[in-house]
Amino acid sequence: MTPVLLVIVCLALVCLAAATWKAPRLSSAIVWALTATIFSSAALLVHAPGPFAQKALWITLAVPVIWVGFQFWTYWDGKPWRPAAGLIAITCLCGGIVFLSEPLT
Amino acid sequence: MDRARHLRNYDLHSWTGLALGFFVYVVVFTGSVAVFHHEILTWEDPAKRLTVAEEPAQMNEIFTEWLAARAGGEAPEFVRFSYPTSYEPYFVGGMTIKDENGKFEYTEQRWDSATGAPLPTRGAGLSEWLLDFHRDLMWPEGLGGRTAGRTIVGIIGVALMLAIITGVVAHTKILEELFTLRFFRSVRLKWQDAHKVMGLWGLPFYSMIAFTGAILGVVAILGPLVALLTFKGDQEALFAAVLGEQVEASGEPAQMVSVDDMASLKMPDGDAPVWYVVMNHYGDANARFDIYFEPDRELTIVEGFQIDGVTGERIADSQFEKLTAANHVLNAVTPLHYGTFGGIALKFAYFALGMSLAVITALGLMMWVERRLHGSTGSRSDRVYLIIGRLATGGTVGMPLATAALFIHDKLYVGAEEQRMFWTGLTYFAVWAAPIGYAFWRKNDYAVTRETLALSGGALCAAAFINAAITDYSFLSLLGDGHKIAGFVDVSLLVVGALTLAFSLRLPERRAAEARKTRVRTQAEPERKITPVAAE
Repeated sequence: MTPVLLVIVCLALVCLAAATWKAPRLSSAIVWALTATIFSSAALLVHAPGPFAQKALWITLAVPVIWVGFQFWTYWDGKPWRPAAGLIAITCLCGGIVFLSEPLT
Repeated sequence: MDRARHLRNYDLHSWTGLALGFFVYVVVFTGSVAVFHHEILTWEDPAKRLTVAEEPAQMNEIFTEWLAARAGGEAPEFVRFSYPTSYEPYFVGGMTIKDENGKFEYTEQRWDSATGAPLPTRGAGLSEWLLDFHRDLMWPEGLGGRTAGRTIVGIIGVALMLAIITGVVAHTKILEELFTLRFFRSVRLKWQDAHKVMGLWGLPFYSMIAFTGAILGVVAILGPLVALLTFKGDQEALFAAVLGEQVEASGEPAQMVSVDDMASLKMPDGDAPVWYVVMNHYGDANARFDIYFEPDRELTIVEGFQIDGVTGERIADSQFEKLTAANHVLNAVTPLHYGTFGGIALKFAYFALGMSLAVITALGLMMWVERRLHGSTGSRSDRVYLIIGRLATGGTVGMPLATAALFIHDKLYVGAEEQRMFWTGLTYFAVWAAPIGYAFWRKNDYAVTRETLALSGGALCAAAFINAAITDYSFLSLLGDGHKIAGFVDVSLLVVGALTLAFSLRLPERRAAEARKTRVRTQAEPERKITPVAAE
């Protein structure tokens, strides 16, 4: 990663953190629901049992539902921080699973 | 549900609708018209108003000579051959080759089904624009191209799903609201009731269209993202894992199966003729041909099997033979979304339901503005809400006008065929923008809606007459002895145009409450000039 890219990534993370602090529900609905969907789908693809091709097709079908489900949760929950923390945790946990796993071949 | 939760849910519904409502309207409106893509394709191109020959021409020699001449000694990357159908009543050959810069270039030729004589090609325009604007918003290459556009449309599908779920949750008295339509109350109540009634009755269709649209759009971004994460960026490895390993070319030239022989192939359990053939490694000893048949009103895109391109024998272990439940579900997504599985009546049902969803979205936008301009909600100045209102009014009524204008443009265009798409797009955006400008100039959203819709209706009717004049076919003769599909489009244009015109004439010229105020004022001061409502 080049220094310029590193600075851009750091800036983006700071902005995201500020946005999450200021408006946890809105940031969760716009950003964290998407990241949690992508990483949880990838983690499922890597570790769920069954033939890869079948998993890939079923997960493709499930992605819009998971995404909308997460978005809905952000405004449904009474406490604004609970969905935000939950989605960040899902993103980090599933991201860790995906990045620490051996690449599929 | 407690009040705080109800309010949060309502806010999410309202803001999803406002932030993405206009885009939802654009995608839904264009999608409703794009349902008739095949029919419009025949209407726009007089060369397609042919009948399929009972004794089709022998095409193998013509096709192989054309391929050899176009490929210029290079191995084509992709070859396709289509057989005549009612929508495309001629043979079509297509191939992709890499040019000297390594870019893929697609070239196509069509031949008369009876004689095999080459038919003139026509530049893509009206039908292609309507379909692609729905699919990917014709997103420019400089901003990420069609993939980015498709992803945006997918996100709009997700937003629509969210709006539907929050909308349903917001309804605490669903049964009661299903039958509540207070026509003689205030403007806002009328719009609110219509929004709820249409939304609830069409709920299964809207949910299906949002879900399938989200899948079709989200796949464009999901594939590369998942590949990046699980295959550490190796997208080819992902495709191989999903689709199975493909046979490599051997490098040995070989004689291919004749396209005339393939015309007689049939599915074991069906009677449909071959639709098209995709030829992988054409001219190679390891050539594999995918044979596709038009499904007979079944919920799947195509049916087919794979054959050896040299011997013509069916390949027993191809992907076609390994279809699972997941494949069947995914194959059903496109026909479900575009309504291609049930004939013309189903397409009309899709059109009507799609248009009702467009109306629901437009009503949602109008209610949002109305509540802030004439209600107690909203913290911004009236000027802000007036600007949003004008943009929403001009943008929503501008789209039917732009669509109608494209039909006329298609018949009056006299420029080069390669430039047809460019001028189609320019016409579309220019006509679409005009009502927005008009809304700001007229300062009366009710009058703008009424007048623009009347103009749209007139333009749709005019398109049918212009087609009859330019292509020497009257729609009446088309319905008798001429080409049925083009005639059907003409009659549909006339009916939809007349209905739009009639509907527009029933719309009010100004807001009812304001009209009452003006009437009272006019009676008190007869000499005073009546001011347009929205300008006050």
